[in-house]
Amino acid sequence: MMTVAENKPATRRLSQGSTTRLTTTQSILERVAAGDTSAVSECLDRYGDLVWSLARRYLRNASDAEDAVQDIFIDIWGSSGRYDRNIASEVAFISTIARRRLIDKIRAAERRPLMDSLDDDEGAPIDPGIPATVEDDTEVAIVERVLGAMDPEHQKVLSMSLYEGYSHSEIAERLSLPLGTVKTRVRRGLIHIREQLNISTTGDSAEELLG
Amino acid sequence: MNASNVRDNDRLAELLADEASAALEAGDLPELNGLLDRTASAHRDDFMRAAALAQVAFLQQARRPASGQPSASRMPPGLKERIASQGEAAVLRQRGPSAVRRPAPAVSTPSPVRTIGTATQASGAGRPRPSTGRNSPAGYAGWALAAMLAVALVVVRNEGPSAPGSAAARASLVDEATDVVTLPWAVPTAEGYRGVTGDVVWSQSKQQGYLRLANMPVNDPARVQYQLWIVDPDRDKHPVDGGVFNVSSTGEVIIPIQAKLPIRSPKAFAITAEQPGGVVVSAGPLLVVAAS
Repeated sequence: MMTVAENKPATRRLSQGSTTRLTTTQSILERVAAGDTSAVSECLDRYGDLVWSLARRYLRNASDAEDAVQDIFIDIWGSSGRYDRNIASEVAFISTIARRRLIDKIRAAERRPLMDSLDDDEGAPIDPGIPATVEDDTEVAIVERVLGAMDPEHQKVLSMSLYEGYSHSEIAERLSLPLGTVKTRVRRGLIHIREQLNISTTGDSAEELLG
Repeated sequence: MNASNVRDNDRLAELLADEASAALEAGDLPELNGLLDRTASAHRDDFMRAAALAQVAFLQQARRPASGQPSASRMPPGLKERIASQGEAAVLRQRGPSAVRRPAPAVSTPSPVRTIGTATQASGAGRPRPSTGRNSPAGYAGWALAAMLAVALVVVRNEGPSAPGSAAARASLVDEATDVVTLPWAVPTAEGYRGVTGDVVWSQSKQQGYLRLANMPVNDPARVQYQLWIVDPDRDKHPVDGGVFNVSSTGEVIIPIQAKLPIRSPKAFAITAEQPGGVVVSAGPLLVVAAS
């Protein structure tokens, strides 16, 4: 039986058939939306490393990454009134805003995301572990399961596109695949993930997905 | 559902997947906007959410010790403190007039992120109120933009000086483009700007436009520059930076709009005065506004 704890809205969503397990405790984003300034620091403590890691995957320059992270969090707080725990987890809500904002940054700068390792991290402290915030997120777990069940070649294309930041043409060149094949694999992969996430929203199949 | 609807939905899914994977071509944007309008899709964010969660999932895999890949770094502590200060101020402003007002937080350490605005500006005291009331389009857009600016604008810096030949280029755009929209400036309420007249022309298909301004106060570029903001709620709740510019004459000047991001459905254009080079976060006030 899943344990419902504060700031695990995805777990709540997946448990919607058992309302007795729900709690009325406000999540961090709900508290921000309500004007609770103390939730701002909590939000940064909980999700700051995640957003920073996502930004550093896309922006080599630390100064650019700092700009981006600041923009993302201002956006998150400004959008907190739209957050609905029944639709998405906080991790999903925050990472979606972060991704959209980072893509905007890349387009504006007309450059591609970081495509190599983070070895040039300019002495920033290293996080040796995995934050429980993300590790416990049910939606991330669903997507991990979906990705794990994919054909390895398809998963590789998705990883290069969504995580490593290669353009479709760069993926085609590196994997010696036709450009159309790369586009199709990325599109189908995203459509499949979206479908599985939407299925989970109904609450019917999520438990099965999670095994 | 008929065959046309199926084709529309399939194509929409393709384009949204491209958008979520940072692969959407600029030329595909009008088609995406058109499909979104036609299908009234309520799932605009679904693909971005799927991509974002996949990105997080891949990040998780990479961070597990068994992956052998480098770990990700922690957010720099100084950055966290700066963002926290700004976030608390933004949350206070979101709470509205009943909230305890306090000056915008000072940036305590040198930062590449430029935040401008005195405490007075940040608290909204200097922000102009629409004289036409919130029910008029211009008044509403001005009020809405002011509200968004109060939260803090997140934009991309843009350099957009006035270019020679802009008048001819504007005339050419108006003559050649079939979808040019002309928006007159609303009567400004800001002190020193009440005599400003002119308009904005914008072509959605060409993603080009021009400001025409008369009686705009001359700025000292070493001290202040004007900055254009484009309100495009279909794209984002944050206005898009339309470039910084100077006015060297109170006569008529034509300024090309230089939006770095594709514009989908502009609802208003507004000008603020900022520090040289423009800003990424502005506290206003709005000096001149044109709204659809």
